Order: sequence, then structure tokens, then C-alpha cells
Amino acid sequence: MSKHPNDRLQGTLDLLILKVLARSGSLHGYAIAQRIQQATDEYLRIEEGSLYPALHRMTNDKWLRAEWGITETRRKARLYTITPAGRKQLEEEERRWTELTAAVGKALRFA
Amino acid sequence: MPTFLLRIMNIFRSVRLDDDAREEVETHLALIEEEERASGAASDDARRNARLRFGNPSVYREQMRDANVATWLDNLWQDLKFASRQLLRNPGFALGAILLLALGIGVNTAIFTIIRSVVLRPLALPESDHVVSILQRTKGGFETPQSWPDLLDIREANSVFASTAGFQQDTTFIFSSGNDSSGNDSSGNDSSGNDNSGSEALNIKGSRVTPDYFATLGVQPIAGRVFDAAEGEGRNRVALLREDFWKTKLGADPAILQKRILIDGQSAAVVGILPAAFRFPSNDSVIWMPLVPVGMERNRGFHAFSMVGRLKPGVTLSQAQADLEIVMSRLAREYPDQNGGHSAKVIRLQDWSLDKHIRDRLVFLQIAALALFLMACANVSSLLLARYSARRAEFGIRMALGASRMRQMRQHVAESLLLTGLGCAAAVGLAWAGVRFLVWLYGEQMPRASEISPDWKLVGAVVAATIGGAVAMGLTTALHEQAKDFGTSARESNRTTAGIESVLTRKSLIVFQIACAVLLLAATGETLQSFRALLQIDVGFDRSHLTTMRVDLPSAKYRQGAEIAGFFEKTAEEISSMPGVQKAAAINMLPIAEWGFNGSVNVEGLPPLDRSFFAEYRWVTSDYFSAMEIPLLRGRLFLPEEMSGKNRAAIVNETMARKVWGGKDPLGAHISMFSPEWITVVGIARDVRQTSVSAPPSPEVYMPARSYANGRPIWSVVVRSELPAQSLVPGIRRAIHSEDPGAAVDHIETMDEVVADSVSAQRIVAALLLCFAGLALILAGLGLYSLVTFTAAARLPELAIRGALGASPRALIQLVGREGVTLVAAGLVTGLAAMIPLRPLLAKYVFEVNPMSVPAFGLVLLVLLAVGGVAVLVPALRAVRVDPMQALRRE
Repeated sequence: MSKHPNDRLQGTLDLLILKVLARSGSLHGYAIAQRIQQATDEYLRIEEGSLYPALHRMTNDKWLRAEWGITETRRKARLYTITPAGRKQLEEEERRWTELTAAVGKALRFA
Repeated sequence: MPTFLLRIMNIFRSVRLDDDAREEVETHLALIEEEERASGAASDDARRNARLRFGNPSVYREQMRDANVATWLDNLWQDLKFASRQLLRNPGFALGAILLLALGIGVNTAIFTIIRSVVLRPLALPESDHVVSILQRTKGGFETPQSWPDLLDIREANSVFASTAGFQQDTTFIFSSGNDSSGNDSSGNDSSGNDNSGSEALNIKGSRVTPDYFATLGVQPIAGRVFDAAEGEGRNRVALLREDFWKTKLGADPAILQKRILIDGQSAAVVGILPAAFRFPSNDSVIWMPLVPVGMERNRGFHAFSMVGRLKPGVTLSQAQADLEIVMSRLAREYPDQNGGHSAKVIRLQDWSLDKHIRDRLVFLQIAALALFLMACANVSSLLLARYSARRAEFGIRMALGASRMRQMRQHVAESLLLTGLGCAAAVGLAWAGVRFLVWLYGEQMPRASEISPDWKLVGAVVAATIGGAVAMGLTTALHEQAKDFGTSARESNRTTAGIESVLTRKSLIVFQIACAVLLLAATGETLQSFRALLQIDVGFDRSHLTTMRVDLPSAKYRQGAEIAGFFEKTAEEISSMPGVQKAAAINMLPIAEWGFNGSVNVEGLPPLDRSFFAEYRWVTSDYFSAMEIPLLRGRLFLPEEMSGKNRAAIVNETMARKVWGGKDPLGAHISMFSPEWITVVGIARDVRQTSVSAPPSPEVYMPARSYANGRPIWSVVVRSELPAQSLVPGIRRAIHSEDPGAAVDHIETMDEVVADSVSAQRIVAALLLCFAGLALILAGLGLYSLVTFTAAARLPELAIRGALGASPRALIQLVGREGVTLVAAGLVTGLAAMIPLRPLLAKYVFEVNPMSVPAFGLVLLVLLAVGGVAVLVPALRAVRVDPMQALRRE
């Protein structure tokens, strides 16, 4: 049971991670969390407790590639990069997200 | 990569995975700390804040390991633990199911192990599929062994065999452990046990074989050598012994190859030791001596030697058959008198050495056992279904609390896995006990008994199959449940009304079980009835209070009929004088135990009898008829001057009198058999059974012992006494050994035992069938019982309301019981209908069965109805007795 297609929250986290990595090349977990927070003006705070399981799961699914590297402050860290499969997944997730928000928007307008 | 493989890989990676995860977390914490410090926090606070922000690292590490097989296994372990708790909560169900499975699997494994060892597994000879048996087929379709000249001709003329050999089946030798060489002193210490019995002669089984016998079969001696060509022609007296015989009877004497042993009263040099595993021609062959034909054994018409051949590489069975046809047709042209119409028959040695009856009966038992196994399975799955129906509430709640479907399904599978696992373990033990039991039951009749061994491959296959079955069983029930919305099942579960389909399934399972039980019961009834009839057949003499034994005299010393007659007359007289003994006598072939010494008869004044007419030849001592209590129908017994050989006389049996003389009086007629001399018929004796209790008597001619015409001095002694056999035997032995210490005595049995032995094959089948039928009955009864209990429980509220409204208990019982009774009736009809096409099989594979008599059939019916009645009534009564108020409140 590695996929939970109905789990909106988790899907959103995946989408955000993929998007950030697609933009910025290779990042470690902390930086990914930081980027998401900055990009959403601190609106979305990423729980570290769900960040790393998500990263590992996505690595297992071959959406991300992970390798050990050195941070700007000369610490050893695992750096994540997006793979072609990850880019495909990103497109898919983005499309789904647009659909969903459009649908919710409609519902809000007409309900 | 498939998730499953990944998980497996993760087993090996799990340590590294953990390290990676920890390190990654450390980095993250350090980065947060840096940030906190940068914004001015004290370093302690910075660390604390970092930890607070991160949450519990171990929780997330665990989540990360979701893809880890260790977790998966851990979950399975949890499932199994939970399953075992569930089973323990209901030990009756668990024990019942495990026992059922163990029985079903165990019985089948036991029988199949034997079939595999005895029937399917190739003979323990190198390239055993190249070894064949070469037979002759007569005009009438009988298969016979070879005659010595034919054997030599086939060996010369064929082009398909690498080597061939002749041998004589089942030869008995007398072995005397008293050693005539002085070199025995060295082993005096360890063989003290042998010394005690040193004077005792022993009957041992073996074979006379041509020197190429061992090369043809592909066996090598473990010490010494096999026979050479000169020994094959009778030069020197030599013998080969089997390893275990050398070890037990000769104390594993290391110098055995320099020694001589006493065989049939004459010394023979031991030239080699054959491996203990070599069991050919029979399981109890321990000695092999050269086959040197003498006297009539050299005749072309005397078919006494079996023949084996090893095919040249690449030659098929049918090529060999075709080649031998050419040889045989040439022999038929050259010797039309002896070989006219004879053809060849080549079969694999494995098929030849297997008794067809044993094979057929084993197969029949296997079929019965399979039926039993199916019943056990049906019972277990119906138990499981009932249990799942009853536990629907539990599964509904678990679902509602968020258990994933996978997890639920795993739970089902884990439970059936646990059940079958335990059942399998019990079954393996049971199977082994069953194999030992069957081997013991079959005793000497089991061919290749020494090769029967537990077959681990088979056990593995059985275990794998059952576990597969268990997973399937669990999945089916699980899917069955999953198919429904769990909300429905949660609601449904408040009352135990099972889904219609599951009850229907269970009902048909029950009908199937009852039908199987009926079938087995009916088969057992018929078999037992025929068996009883077999035992009650009048064998023609009074078989009670008769002790019998076989006496084998050293052939070197007893060559003439007069010598043999002298020995047995004297011994019989001596035994008769023992206190408590009424009469003693001897005969060359004991009725029912031995047969087959027969030949043609010429009658003075009558045209030659049909070539197919054979009479059994019997030679008896003076008191034979009175000792056996075989009444003379006409004429008289032998007179002393006939016993002494002065006048020639014969007594014929009823069948002979009827077949040869028809309505005319045979008394005073002259007949001749193996010699041209005329013998006068002086009496007609009542028929006795010769070959078995069931085979009708053949024509038979009794003659005085003195005229015994065969050199083989193996006779049987019969002693009539009211005393128990055990108390007689020492005295009888003394009497025999005082006459000749070299005589070997064996097969000491009462006549009742001889009769029982002759029907032992049928008895085994009858006994096993009875066991199976009993088990089947219990299984069917249990199945019915659980179904009625289950449906009664489901209808409890309804019954309570009916009861409260004034329905009588009788009416309620009828209501509950009606279903059970319908099922019994349906099973009965199905079973009896199935019996119709199966009866001929029973007759063919087991033994001739008489149509079941009305009382026997009634008994079967009664037993079934009794069991069915109990199985229906008990739960019905219990349901009716429940207090209506309680039943309603439970709602």
C-alpha cells in the first residue's frame, strides 16, 4: 500500500516537493522545507515528521534521486534531485491539482 | 522494481537504511540549530527548539521503514500472534480443524508414500529401466518362466541384450550355523549367541542363479567376487551372502571369505558378500548359489527358471519384444512339441516384480483416502465459513476503525495458515506412523518393504500444497467478506444470519460429505460381508485344534521317497505318542498354504483327458486323513501294505471323481501319472480347499508317502490336539530333531492362522475400509452437527417468538431438524447412486464382492440414520431448550 491517491494532503506535499526540486536542482531536506515555506510566505509550514518519509517514499518510487553531498555550511547531507519520472509525475500532479481547485472553486461559486 | 523485491532487498539494507535515516535527521537538526543560533538563541535553547520543531525522530524513522520487509514480517508475526489468540479462544474449533486436516493429509501421505516407494520409484539397480524380465506366453495366454534349454537359446540368439541371466525364484535353503572348519574359534567370543543355536538348522530364502545374474542386474559384491563360469557349471559348492545376514548370523566374521558354511547339510565356500540393499528376487533373499540344472530341470518342457536381461544402450522395450518374437518363433518351429505356439513377453523388471493385486488395492485405498481428505477439507472450510460469519461484527468494527483491506485479508490468511501449518505438522507425524502401520499390516505381502522410506520431497510437496490451499481458503473467505460493504456486514452481524450463498455452499458441502460416507459405508459393508463369507467357507476338514509347521530336510541326505516317508512316519508316530496329542501326520503340501505340484492323469480304458486337465499330487503319511478329519465318502483308507509300497493305491477327491468318471464309480479304476505304472483308486475323499479358502477345489490325488516322486524334501506336519499350540511346539521340535538334528522347522502356525493368512490381503482392505468408513461417518456427522447448530443459533430469536406464541417443542424441533433430515436424505441418495457405477471397480480392485444383502444394507442405513439423527437432534434440542426471553433479549 504505497500509494494513497485519495490522500489530498499527502498528494499536495508530493506536488510541492516535486515543484521545488524541478526549479532548483538538487537540495537537501531542510532546504526543501525552507523553500516551500518561503515560497508560500510562511503560510505552509512543512512538518519534518512527514517531509522525510515523503522524500524516501518518492525516492523508492524513482521520482527523486538521492545522494550524499556537502551543504554550504560544510555539513554532510542527503541531496535530492528530480528524475524524468518525477517530472512526469509533477505534470500529472499539477494537472490534478488544477482540476481539483477548479472543481472546488465551481462548487463554492454555485453551491 | 516491484515493491516486494524492494522489501526483500531492504532486509539486507535495513541497517544501512537506519544509519542513513539517523544521519539525515542529525543534519536537519544541526541546520535548524544553526538557524536558531543565527537568530540569537542560546545554544542549549537552540538545540531544544530544534528538537521541538522536529518532533519525535523515531516515529518518522519507523514510517520511513514502511517499505521495509522487517516491518512486513513483523506485521505478519503480529497477525499470527493474533490468529493464535483467536484460535486459543476457541480451542475446540482449532483442535477439531487441526485434527481433521492432520487426518486427511496424514492418511493420504502415508498411502502415497507406500505407492511411491513400492510402485513408482524405480528399482534400486543401476539404470534399472534397462533391466527387463523375459517371459514366455503359451498358446492359452499364460505367462510362464523359461525352461533351461530355451533360456540358453534365447541368450545365444538374441541381439538386443547386453547380458541375460537365469534364476530360480524363492528357493529355500537350510543353513546350519554349526561350522565344520576349525577356524571359527577366533570369533568364539562375540558369536556366543550363535553357538547356542549352533545345532539348530535354519530355513533361509535365496535363489539359484547363473553367474551373469549379478552383472545383468548391475550389483557389485562389497567383498569378494561373484561366481565364475566354472562355478556356474557346478564346479565347487559356492555361495554369496547378503551383508546383513553375514553380520547377524555369522557375527560379521572378517575371515568369512576363507570359510565354508553348511548349506542343505553340505559345506559351501563363501566367495563374496552382497550389499544389504540388494533384495532380488525377493525382499528376504539372503543367499545366492549357482544354478546348475539337474535331472528333469534340463527338459525343454520344464519351465522353472525366470530370466532377466539388460538391454543394450538405446534398445527399446518394443525392439526387444520384436527381436525375441523372432527367436521364439524359430524355437517353436524347431521344437513343436514343447514350444509350439509359445511367444515372448518382455516387461520391465519393475513391473514384473510388483504384485498387481497389491498395486490395485493400494490405488483403491488411495482413492478412498482422497475422498476422506476431501471430506476433511469440506469440513474445515465449512467450519471456517461458519466462524467468519460469526465474527462478521469483529471484522466490521476493525474496518470501521481503519484497518486496511490488505490487513484484514492478511488476518484471514494468517488464521488459515496457522491452522494448516499445525495440521501439516501433525499430519507428517501421523503419516509416518501410518506408513509403519501399513507395512506391519501387509507384512510379507509388501514387496520392496525395505525400500519404503519417508519421502521428504513428497512431504515438502504436501506441505507446500496445503499451505497454498490455506492461503486460497483464507483469501476466498476474505474476498467473500470484502465483497460486501463493511457497513452492511457490521449491521448484519448483530444477528448471525449468514449470507444465503455461504449457507448454500455449506449445505452442498454437507451433502457431499454424507454421500462420501454412504459410499464408503456401503463399500465397507459389502467388503465385510464378503470377507465374513470367506471366513465361513467350509474348507473340507476340521480346522480347529490343528497345529501345522513346515519341515525342510537336508536334500543331500533325503533323496528318495522312501527316506522321506521313513522320516515323517517315524516323527509322526513319535509326536502322536506325546501326551495330549490325538493324531499327527505329514503331507507334501499343506492345504490352503501351499499348492502347485500338479500334472496330468491317464485313466485306463478312457481316452486321454483334455490337455488342460491337471490334478494336484499329494503324498501323505498313514494318519493324514484321520488327523485332518477329512471324511472318506466311499472306499477305504490306505492299507499298511500300500503304505509300505508293496501295492500301489491312490485316493481321489470328489472333484476328480466327478470330472474324470462322471456318474461312474471310480473305485477300482486304474490311473497313472508321472510313471507308466497303474495305480488303483481305493477311495474318494471329501474335497478340501487347496489354493485358498475362496478358490474352488481342483482335482486331487492322494498317494502313500513312500511313492513321493519329487526330490524336494519340504513337507508339512499337522498335529491334532486340544492343547494350545505353544505348549506343543517344544515337544514337536524335540521329536523332529531327535529324528534328524539337521531338519529345519518353520512356519509354525495353527490351521486357523493358516486360513487367516490366506485371506490377509482381503482382511487388510476390509480393516482399512472399516477405519475409513468410520472416519467418514464421524466427519459427516460433525459437519451436519455444526451446520444444524449454526442455523439453529441463527434462528434462535425466531424460535423464541414461535415458542412464546405457543408452538410446541416438538414442532420447533421439527422446524430445526427438517433441514438436517433433508440433507441426510440427499446425501444418502447421492451416495447410493454413486455406488452403482463404482461397484464393478470394487469387485475388480478389491475382491469379488457379493451383492449386499438386505440386512447388511439395512445396517448401513441404520448406522447412517443414527449418526445423522444425533447430529441433528442434539443441536435442535439445545436450541429449543433456550429460554425464549433470553433469546429475545439477546437481539
